[in-house]
Amino acid sequence: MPKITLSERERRLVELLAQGHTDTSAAEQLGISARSVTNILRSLMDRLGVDNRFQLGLALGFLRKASVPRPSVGGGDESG
Amino acid sequence: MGAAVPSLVRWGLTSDADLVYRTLVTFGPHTERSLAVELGLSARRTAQALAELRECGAAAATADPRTTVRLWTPARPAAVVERLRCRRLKLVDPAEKLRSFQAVLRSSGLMAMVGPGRLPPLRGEVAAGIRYLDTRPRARDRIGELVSAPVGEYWTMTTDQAVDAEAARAAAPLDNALVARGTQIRLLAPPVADGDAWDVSGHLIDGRSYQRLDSFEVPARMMLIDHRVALLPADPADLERGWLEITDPGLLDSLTGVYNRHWADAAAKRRDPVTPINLSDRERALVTLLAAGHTDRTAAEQLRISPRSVTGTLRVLMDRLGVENRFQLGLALGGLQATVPPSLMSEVSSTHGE
Repeated sequence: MPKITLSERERRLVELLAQGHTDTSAAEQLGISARSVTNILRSLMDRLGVDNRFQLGLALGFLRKASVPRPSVGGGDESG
Repeated sequence: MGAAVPSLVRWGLTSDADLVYRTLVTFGPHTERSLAVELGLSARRTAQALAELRECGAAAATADPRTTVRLWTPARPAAVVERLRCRRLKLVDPAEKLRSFQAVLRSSGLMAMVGPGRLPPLRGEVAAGIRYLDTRPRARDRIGELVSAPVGEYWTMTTDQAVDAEAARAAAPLDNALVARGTQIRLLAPPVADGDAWDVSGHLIDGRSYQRLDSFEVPARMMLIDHRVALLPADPADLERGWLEITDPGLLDSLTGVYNRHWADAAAKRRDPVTPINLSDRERALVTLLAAGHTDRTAAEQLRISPRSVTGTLRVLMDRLGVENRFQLGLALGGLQATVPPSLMSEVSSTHGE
């Protein structure tokens, strides 16, 4: 079924959420309202035929649209 | 100073161990019993957490024979992270390095002519298409000479995790010059430790003309220049003993084959960055139900467990995967192709064909 292409805004939002951002902090980062975040996700969920965030994650992970960041091995570090 | 305590869960420790470590760092040394009481952990879980921390050097107990009350003290967070990082990176051990180097020689047919412990007696031509450059400076000069001519492709691989200062000093201007002339550079190496001062060429890596892939499986140090020259250290344990310059077409083919195989493996791994995880029966059953759209409550009913157990099971799974919320949990499991929502079921068969 869904051959899905993410818009630039969707891609950026998904990336932020994948990093562990909440809806609110992601909205701030993108300079949009929290309601817009909900709407964007709602439309994505509709297109993917899923009902909740867990399923949304599964679908996007499965389709390789996003992935959780790898533990830092070389590069940015959480200890500093 | 005053930096946040890093999460040890990210480095493969349990959330209990992480919690205990955090407590020790934040509030100072504790006894096992006081930890259990303050954190509300059972004695068994506390003991397991401490055993885990001791095993990785994150905490140590005073060993005062006159008292049975042992006080647990944490190691510095930076030191702990460094140690865990090394553990995760499985630092290449020298014996293994030698074995894999010999395997390369054997598979390429070089072993018959040279090999560790059997260094050529003299520098110069050892056999047709094999030259021995008997010192490091001599090898460096020769490499400089080779790349002063136009080079289309310059491929290197190395088993070294830390960048060797001398190698870096030699490589930096070389890399700059190659990049400036539009050479296609490939580097295959174990991930560099954070902030390695000698990672001098890191900024040149752009993923196009200069590509780098991480691999722990690199079998030997090697350079390939335009498929016409290969360079291997004469003794992988001691670069001062010089390099072998290989121009024999048959040997070059097999060494290029070795390089290509490892490059392709590393590229495939990069497409699947998440390490595989084994789900327990309960976890798998739960994840499958949630993927199908069940709520925590209806999934609990199906599995005849309490909603609390559902939350607990997911919490443990999230800790193991190092994620913080359901969306990330879904992403991680989806990325592992652990399960899919029903709406994507038809994709399962089709994507595998690609």
